Amino acid sequence: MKTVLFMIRTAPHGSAAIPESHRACLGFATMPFEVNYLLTEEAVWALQPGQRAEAIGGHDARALVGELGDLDVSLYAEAEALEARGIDSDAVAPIQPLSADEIADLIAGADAVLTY
Amino acid sequence: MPTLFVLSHAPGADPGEAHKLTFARDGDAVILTEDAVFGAGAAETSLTGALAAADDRGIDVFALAPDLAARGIETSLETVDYAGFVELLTQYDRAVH
Repeated sequence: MKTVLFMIRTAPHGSAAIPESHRACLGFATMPFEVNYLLTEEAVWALQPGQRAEAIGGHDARALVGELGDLDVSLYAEAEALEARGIDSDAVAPIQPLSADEIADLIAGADAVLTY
Repeated sequence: MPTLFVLSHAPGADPGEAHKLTFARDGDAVILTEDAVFGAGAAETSLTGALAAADDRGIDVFALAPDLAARGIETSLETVDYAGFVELLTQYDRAVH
């Protein structure tokens, strides 16, 4: 089975990166692919607790990402980026924090990488 | 299973572009295209340290010649033309943009 890695590096709410990647990921998840979804750099802000996206008519980024886990998409976030932004990596389940080395492994294991 | 990292954003506008190289390893390569070639010249940018570190780690570094020429940037990096860029894309197992 082919493996696809979604690599999100754009902050939520200022762009459509999270909802658009979520939409594409839903499509891949319905087909015979192994799908991994990784938040790096500014994209880990999607896991910030206490978001009230309705204040700007936006999407709840944390809920959108979490929803993918129900579709057997493996969810990951860059541990260093979480730490740099003060986001508690123990509190982001079901998203699994990864070191830079583990992310390099994830990339090396992918047949294709889609970046947002 | 080597990877080609493709950078395209100006280093001043997107300092995070250099961060992608954190995930590169020995045998991978990086190519600077579009506004990322502003990081290929003599000027110190947010890419300078990351590219030097990548080179030290055995990561090949390229820059796209037409994008350098268009912006008047001279570089000591290895350059490729469009055909060379396509060739690189075929040589690596995947590209990360």
